Amino acid sequence: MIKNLGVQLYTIRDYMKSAEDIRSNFKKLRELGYTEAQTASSGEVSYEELAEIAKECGIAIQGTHYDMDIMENDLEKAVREHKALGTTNCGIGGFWNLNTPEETKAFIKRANDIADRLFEHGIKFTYHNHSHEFKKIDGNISSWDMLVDGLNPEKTSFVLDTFWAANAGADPIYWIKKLAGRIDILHLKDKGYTTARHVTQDNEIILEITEVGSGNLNWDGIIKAAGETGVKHYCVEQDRNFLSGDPFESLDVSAKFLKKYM
Amino acid sequence: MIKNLGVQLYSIRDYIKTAEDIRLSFKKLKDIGYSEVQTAGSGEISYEEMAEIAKECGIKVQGTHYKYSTMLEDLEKTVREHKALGTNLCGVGGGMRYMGTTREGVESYIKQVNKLADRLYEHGLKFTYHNHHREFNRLDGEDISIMDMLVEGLNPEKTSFVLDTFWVATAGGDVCQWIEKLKGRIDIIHLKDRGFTTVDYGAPDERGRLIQLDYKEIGKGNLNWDGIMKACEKAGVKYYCVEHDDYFIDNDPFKSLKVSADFLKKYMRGIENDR
Repeated sequence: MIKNLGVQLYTIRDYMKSAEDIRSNFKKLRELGYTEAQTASSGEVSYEELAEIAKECGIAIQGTHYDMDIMENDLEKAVREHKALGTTNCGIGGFWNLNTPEETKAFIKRANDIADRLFEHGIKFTYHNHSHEFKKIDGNISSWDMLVDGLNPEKTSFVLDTFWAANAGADPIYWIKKLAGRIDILHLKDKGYTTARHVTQDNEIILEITEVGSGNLNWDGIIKAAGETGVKHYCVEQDRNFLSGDPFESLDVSAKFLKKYM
Repeated sequence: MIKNLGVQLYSIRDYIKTAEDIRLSFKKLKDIGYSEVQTAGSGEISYEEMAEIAKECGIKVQGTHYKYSTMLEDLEKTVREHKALGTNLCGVGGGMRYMGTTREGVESYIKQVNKLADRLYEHGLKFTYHNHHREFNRLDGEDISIMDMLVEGLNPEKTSFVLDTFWVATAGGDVCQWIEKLKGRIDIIHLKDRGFTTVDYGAPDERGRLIQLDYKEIGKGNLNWDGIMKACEKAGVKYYCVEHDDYFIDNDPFKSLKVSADFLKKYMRGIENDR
């Protein structure tokens, strides 16, 4: 059961240029049924200002996609901004250099160190996946397997992205169950033939990110597994391929589909 | 539990041109753990001759990917060749080009296939349909996919699905769910993994596609094989067929097929299970 529906603000990144923009678009999100947001950055305003606007519009912040270097080098700022936003989930959108066991081990150590320091301030480090983590880098072991094995389950959590997992051929339901208790935020993103029906020169129709419910992911199974394993926040993210080029139109379709789980 | 492991011969299409080639390749398949095959054409020889070679090498034919137009136009030849091969599963590798994405197109294909399946069935043959990803496209202007239409429309008694795990996953479909949904209607399952190819990972292309995600040896990709095998058993799948279209280890399909067979050993009936 989804209690509150959230949205990853990367989805509307082009509509957050000024405080005024953010205000009017947060109101739009509310009207479409979204009461929570995960930040992707603070755009042209400060996080403090963003937090104010969110509050004013009735949008709760689920978590962030934040800068790992700031977490590492300016903990005070990271903590202050997360306190201002009113969230304990301080995350990164992904880490790209996980191509070898050594690279992955180094990242895990770095992330766990940061998580230790954040946790002293009541904040958890979150990791959001794409597909590249599912590359097998050590026999049949993927960097994802190493992250699951190596990140501190007490002080970190995963923002599992259903699309990117499925895109890699992985079974989102399997991973939701396997990560029971370790997913605070679940990214809802569908994979299917886009309504845009992109057709390339060789007449291939592109399988891509699409509105939740318009693709082929097993949403009944995913939402059920998420409910059973203690997922706290649900977050729709759509990176591209918007209906009529308008992310709000796409977010409307996703929210309407997800109503049956609310 | 897999009893006998099969391979779709498309995987070794470049090694089955002549009778001598086929004999050699079949022996190689036996050596690396395959005792069954599904055909994809008969190369330069006749199906009758191919059947002889298979028999000689101890390879059983699970089914075919056969020419749809031949089924329609020459039933007698179709039946004869399948009898020669010793299989009753007469299938197509796909039918999207006959269907398109309109309701009319899909409905008329289903009608034609069911009629054909009726005729094949009189001779003890079943029509089989092998999916790719495109069947998971929605019908124009509707919320139902072509795959849903096929599942609903094809005669469950006289047709069956050759569900392809890779293509379901590629479309974003839940492979285990589809196997459960098609309970009793999958005679042959195509085992094919999806993961990162040996090509180095790079940035997504301009459409965001990670083109390096493609066919992998079973176990080297990310499909949930424990779940899939369990679902297959519950759904009454009869034949297991590894298909590997491209991106072979050292460009050698036999090397890739061996890795797949070795991985799948854990799902095969062992001595301890026979007791």
